[in-house]
Amino acid sequence: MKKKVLLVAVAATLITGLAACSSGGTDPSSTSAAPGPDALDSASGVTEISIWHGLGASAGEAFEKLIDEFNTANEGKIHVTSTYQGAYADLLAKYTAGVRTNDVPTVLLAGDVATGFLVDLGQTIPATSLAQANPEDLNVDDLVPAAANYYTVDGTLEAVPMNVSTPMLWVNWDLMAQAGLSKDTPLATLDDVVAAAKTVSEKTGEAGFTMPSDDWYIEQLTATAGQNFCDPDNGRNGTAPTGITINTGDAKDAISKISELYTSGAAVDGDPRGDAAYSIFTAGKVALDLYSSGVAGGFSSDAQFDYSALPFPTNSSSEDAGNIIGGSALWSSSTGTPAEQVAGWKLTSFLASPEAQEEFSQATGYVPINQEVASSATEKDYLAANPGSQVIIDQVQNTPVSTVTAGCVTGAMTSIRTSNMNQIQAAWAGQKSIGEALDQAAEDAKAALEQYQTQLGE
Amino acid sequence: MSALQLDSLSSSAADSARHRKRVRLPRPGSIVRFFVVLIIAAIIFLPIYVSFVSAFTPNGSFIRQGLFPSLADFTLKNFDTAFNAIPIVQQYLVSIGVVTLQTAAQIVTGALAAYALVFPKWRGRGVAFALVLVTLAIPGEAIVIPNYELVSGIGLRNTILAVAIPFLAAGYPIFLMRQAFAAVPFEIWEAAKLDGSGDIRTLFSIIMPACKPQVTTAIMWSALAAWNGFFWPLLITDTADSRTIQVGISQLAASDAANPAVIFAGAVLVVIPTIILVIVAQRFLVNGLARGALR
Amino acid sequence: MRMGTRIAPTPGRHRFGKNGIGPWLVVPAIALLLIFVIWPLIRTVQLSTYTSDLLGNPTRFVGFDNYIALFSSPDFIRTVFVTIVIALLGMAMATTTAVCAALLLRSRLLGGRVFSIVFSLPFAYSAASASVVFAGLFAPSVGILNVILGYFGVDGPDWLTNPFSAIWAIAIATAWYEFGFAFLVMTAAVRGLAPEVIEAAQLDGAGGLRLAWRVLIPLMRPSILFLTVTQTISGLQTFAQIQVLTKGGPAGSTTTFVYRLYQLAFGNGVPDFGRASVIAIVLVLLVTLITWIQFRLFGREKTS
Repeated sequence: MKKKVLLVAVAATLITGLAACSSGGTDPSSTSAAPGPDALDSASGVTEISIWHGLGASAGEAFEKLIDEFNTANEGKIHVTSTYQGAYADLLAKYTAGVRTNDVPTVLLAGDVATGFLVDLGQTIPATSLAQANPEDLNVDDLVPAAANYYTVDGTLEAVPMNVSTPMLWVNWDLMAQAGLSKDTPLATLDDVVAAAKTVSEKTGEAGFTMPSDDWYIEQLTATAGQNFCDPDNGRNGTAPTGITINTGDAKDAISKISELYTSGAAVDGDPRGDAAYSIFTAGKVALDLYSSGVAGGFSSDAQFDYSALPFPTNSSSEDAGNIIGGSALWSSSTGTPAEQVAGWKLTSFLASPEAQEEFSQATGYVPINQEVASSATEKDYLAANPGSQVIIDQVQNTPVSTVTAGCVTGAMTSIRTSNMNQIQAAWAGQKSIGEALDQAAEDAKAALEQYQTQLGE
Repeated sequence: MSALQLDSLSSSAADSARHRKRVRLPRPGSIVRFFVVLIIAAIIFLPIYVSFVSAFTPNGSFIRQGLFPSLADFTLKNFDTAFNAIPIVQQYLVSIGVVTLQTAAQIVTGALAAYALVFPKWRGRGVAFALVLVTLAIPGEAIVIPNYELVSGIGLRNTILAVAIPFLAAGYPIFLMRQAFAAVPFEIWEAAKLDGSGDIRTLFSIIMPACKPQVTTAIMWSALAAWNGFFWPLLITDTADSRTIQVGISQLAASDAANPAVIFAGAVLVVIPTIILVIVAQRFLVNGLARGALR
Repeated sequence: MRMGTRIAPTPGRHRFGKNGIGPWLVVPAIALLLIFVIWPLIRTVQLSTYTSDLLGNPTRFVGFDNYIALFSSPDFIRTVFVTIVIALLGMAMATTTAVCAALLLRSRLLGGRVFSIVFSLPFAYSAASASVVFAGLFAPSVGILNVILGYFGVDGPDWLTNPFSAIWAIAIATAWYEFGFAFLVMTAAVRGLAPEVIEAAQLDGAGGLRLAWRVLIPLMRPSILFLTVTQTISGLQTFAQIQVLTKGGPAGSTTTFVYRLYQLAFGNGVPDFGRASVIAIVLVLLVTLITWIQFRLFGREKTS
């Protein structure tokens, strides 16, 4: 009898122990040090890792090329499988579903706006930790400060930026000339731009201004006005944001000035996906277009007139004011074996290396995120041949590092963007005043942030 | 009007048409009629015309050349770009796979169920049929979340099976076939039974052939629903290779690589099989509706 | 089947009872429907009363909190409005045009066969493929529709970027692809009209429009009702057109039920299955209501 009881007790303990150990899924990553090079060196055979990305078209091709290069260079030791999971939104949905079933990639190239969500989800190892544990690989100090700033939360660099874009002011000089505005026309401040847009609209009957109806540009107007998009501190200093600020201060002024162009008819709606802002510019029907630097390639083949990219206009003289970068970054999963994690970090380091960044940025028009690229001879030649790219790179280099230019970090960002544009477009369509719209947007954002906090706490 | 009433009316219409003397319509009326029809047809046809012509000409032809771009500009380049932008062939195969699987499953399970609901008398029969009717009122879009949890959870994401699995049985084909089977004279079934024919054999060799129009309608309904599916395939597939053509084409429209002409080329590729089907089978479709599907 | 031998059905002892395998044939379908339709509905009700965590897992029972939060937001009211308007507009345009087209082709007409096929063509398009075509037609500033309207001297609106015209854009795209099926149904209905009644009315002096309005359309009522109900129900679930053409904008003017569900559950990065499920339940109730009305109007028997 005793033996039987003992057996049962042992069995019970074993089963309970096994059950406890096998809980797959959502344990947040431990704060202990990340694995170092030994983990990979001691691994036998080929370490298989995976990377998911949301880069389509030419950016995707350039990316795949880099992956091939990495695989060739690390043959026998590391092999990467790269999968295009659709655009950023699809990629994130797939990742979220994957977390529930423990099917996540070693490295995730996620869109900028996912930063808050990924940090809160806790399924990744901060880049800082991996860099510290692997001193032979990427030195995170080499990263362009404005780019690293975006992915730094509470002092820790969470992810390594891969592709970075910045919004520019694209000017159709032919149309400007038709309105009697020469190439010397001042366009550095928001007031200048508004004045020029009105002139073009009055003198030529074509639209003077447009931009994609995407909240990203509202955030840019806020940041270049020297204001944090959300309080407190854009969520960058350890406290979760509780509200947005666009209905107050200089940001409100900036947004109102631009909105006035819409309500007066000098500006035309650019459509949330930017389709209209793109096609109307290339069709030569708008003089001033605020658009991401990412369209540089498209414009160069589709715009058949004299145009150039100028820095984003701003009225502010604040030291903190500047543009928020866009793009995506490489996140390292905390699930998977140490060997895989280190292999993934090697991949990240490669993708962020000067050589890879130079190749990638020249092929796609994104800004290189590694400062070492600037000193490369081939890069200098490239920029000499493509002065348009220099303006874009300069803008990112000259962006000050502050919480303002880091942008707002919260998992509720996508929801806030949607409700913001709902309100602002209503104002542009004349359904309400911009002041009302911004107030309502602030209220909706507050509710969204609260709801997010609730979900976070569950 | 019940299906049977409509049926008898259309056959009596055919009879009396043969015996009737032709009534001459007043000329001005028919000219007016012609023009009204022409205008409506032009409006209906416009999107098709625009999309086909744009697909075969360089981008912007309508802007440059007006309503009738010249034939000399004919090009297949847009199709080439479309083929490179999304894996069209692969997505076609996925769609065909989904349609085949879903339709076959719905018809087979539906026929079996309809049979069981009509011929053998058993105690839960009314409840089962009520259950089927209840599902008719539940819109598919409303129940995606739990299905998403389930299908993702068992690791089936990104497969043809995943796209078809929530729809392997559907209430409407069951309903259609059940109504049709119920109209089959009971003696036929009894005779088959007395001859020793098993239920399944009776179903497939006697009952279903007797209800060809309704079964055909059910097959068409299932196939069409499977081909046109959009929301669910969008959610449960991730990579372009595994997507159905409907989702793939919507992503072509959203991609940066595509200008309007390329998007139209993609749209043309998607609808060519169904357009051919409509042109060839139009009369059949109308007859089928007049006889089988309308109450 | 053994020919020529009549065998009485064997009683009792059979493993499946006196009905043989018969009733069990219903099992595959019922099982599938239970798993993929009935249970999800129950689960959706459950999800709608829970808050969810960052991954969408339900965590805490909150009763009607999600419902109250959603119903009291002005966005929700607008979503209801938009959904119903799009459904009704699309249905009205498609059905009316289909009735007219079918009646106009009732008697012989030059090229009638060709017209008949042209009218059936939209049936070949799904919501997604029709939306893609209309994306090219409605595209801001380079859309072909405005170019063509321009040739007729008409200045087309900003279809997709103006909140008011965006709803029309969606409704037009919807009506267009629904028109194909509607035309087929109406043609079948017209075919089924008793010629004696028509002749009698014609002899009474009713011609053309009056004949159509007073006699033909009332005779076609069941089919017209069938169309309006099915089109309204499918219109309430409009999604593909929004996804392709407007993504719920501009200014949220085209956010329908299903699109809002998609946004909350899948489009916002953070899956909020709780609130999304509320929308799902409201949709189910609305559709159930209309289906119930349909069955009452048709007076169907549910069981034989």
